[in-house]
Amino acid sequence: MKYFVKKIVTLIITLLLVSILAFLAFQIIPGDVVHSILGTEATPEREEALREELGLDKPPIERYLNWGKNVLRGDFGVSYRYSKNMNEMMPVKELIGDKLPVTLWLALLSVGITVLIAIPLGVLWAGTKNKFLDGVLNVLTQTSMAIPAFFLGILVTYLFGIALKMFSPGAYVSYKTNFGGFIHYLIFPAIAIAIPKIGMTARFLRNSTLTELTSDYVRTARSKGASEKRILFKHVLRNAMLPVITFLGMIIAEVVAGSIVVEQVFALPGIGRLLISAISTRDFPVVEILILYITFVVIIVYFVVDVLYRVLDPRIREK
Amino acid sequence: MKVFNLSASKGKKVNIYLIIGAVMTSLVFLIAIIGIFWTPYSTTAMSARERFAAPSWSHLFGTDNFGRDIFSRVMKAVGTSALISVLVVAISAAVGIVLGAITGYFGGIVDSVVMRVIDAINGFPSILLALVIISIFGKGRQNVVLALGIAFTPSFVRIVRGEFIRLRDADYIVRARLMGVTKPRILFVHILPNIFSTFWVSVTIGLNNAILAESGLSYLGIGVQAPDATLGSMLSDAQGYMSSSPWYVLAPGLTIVWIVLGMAMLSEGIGKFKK
Repeated sequence: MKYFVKKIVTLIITLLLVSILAFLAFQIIPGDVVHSILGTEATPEREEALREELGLDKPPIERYLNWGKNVLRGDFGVSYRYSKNMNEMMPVKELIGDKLPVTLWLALLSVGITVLIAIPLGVLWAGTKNKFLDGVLNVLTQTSMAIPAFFLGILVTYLFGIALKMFSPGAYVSYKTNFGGFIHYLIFPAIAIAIPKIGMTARFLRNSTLTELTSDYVRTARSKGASEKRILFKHVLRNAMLPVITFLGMIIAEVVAGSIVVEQVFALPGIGRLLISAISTRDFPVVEILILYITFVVIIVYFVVDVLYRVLDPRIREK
Repeated sequence: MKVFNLSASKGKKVNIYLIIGAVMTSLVFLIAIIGIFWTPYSTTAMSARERFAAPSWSHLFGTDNFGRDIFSRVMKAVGTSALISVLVVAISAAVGIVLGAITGYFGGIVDSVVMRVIDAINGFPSILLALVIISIFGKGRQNVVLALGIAFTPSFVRIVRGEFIRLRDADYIVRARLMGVTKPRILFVHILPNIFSTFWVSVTIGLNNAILAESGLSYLGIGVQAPDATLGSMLSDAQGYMSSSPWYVLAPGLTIVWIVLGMAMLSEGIGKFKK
């Protein structure tokens, strides 16, 4: 119990620190935002009014508190670049709202594919006595980790899109109009994200299984006459999977970040693409919220994994 | 005697990873260094007649949409990527050693504060952190180095700190303390050389991640800016011509794979060597 309280306090402090960093980072930017929105022709009065409207005339601490309060309330501010119509600025919330499902589904599919393939592969690899298969898997996984996400994306587009014609590259289908088509399109970027993760996870599971296979309880099981299959699946795997859970948490975090690049390759209108375009146009309210959002997801995933690990492994709990 | 022979022959076993990795990596550095002084063609010379020429003896990797020689551009790009990655790792490793040594050896309040900040920075996935820094300071070569340098520092701090914690109460350190050896000397003369085997592995992994991150940023168009060729920006330019001239995509793409694979083998080789 004490552990959980400590963990949650650390979580809150980290989230707070991240939010301060995310906010402060954009306060030291050279150049005046008001200038860049209105252009150089605007009158001083007009500039002053906009500054007040955006709350830029207040000291940074007050602005941070205001911003934090609004974010907690679900008010994410307005974009500097996009406008709703002539008189209204585009709320960041609306800008992000319909892009979020794209990225979330992409991450979900990628992690799903990774788990489905990597875990059987890792177990098979650890269990095999075949030197050749071992070598092939070693080279394949090593290579898969050396291919950058965007190059892999391009290769996947070429293979599945142009050569096999399984989807038409660039013709994204919105989840609002056709959910089946949307998932069908997303599978290919998800494959591109998943391939290196499969390599990593399979290697990791293989190593952790092989380490477990040398432990005393395996020797005992063998001397009892348990079959190798039984030892692997009933005894070893449960223990070998434990570190893999932490590892998968890391993978989830990386998938979220990795989708930023892959969305660009497949022209997916997710938050990754929004982030890149917001950075290019220096649309800071959007960047701030997206950074905060992605980071929170990552931190919370780490937290959940940490807690899960303790729940699943009584040995750590009792220490 | 037999046992002795066995272990001796095991010690002599060829470290295949180290050899292949070293050969692949030195080839990359060789090409990068030659590329600084000489390339077969100018990297910016365009030729309307030779657009999209397939690989041949005169153009090893073919030509691009402007008729520029892709091999020459890859040579230059490898140099740019290698230089950026080396700088990034140099910065983050140097900061990592100093912070990791101090926090790991002394512990206490400084340790808690630094580690909380490191945790907060680590909360950002490194590509995201690099994006934040670039969005603040703008695009361009120096800012890429700065951004990735900051993004990669936490992992070095953690590794160095862990090693210093492991060694700070080792017998020889306790004795050195009793003999009145000064603190900086203990940190950097007594402990530091003993963490290098672990440290070199993380340096090679760091170089790999830096190459991947730099090419990612250039691919997104917010890294090194044109007319400088980088592997990432070449890929981004080439993407549209994938079905008609695949060599344009494959040249920079496979070069990245080659570099990263070589370095990964090297780091695995160093890891095995250690044991």
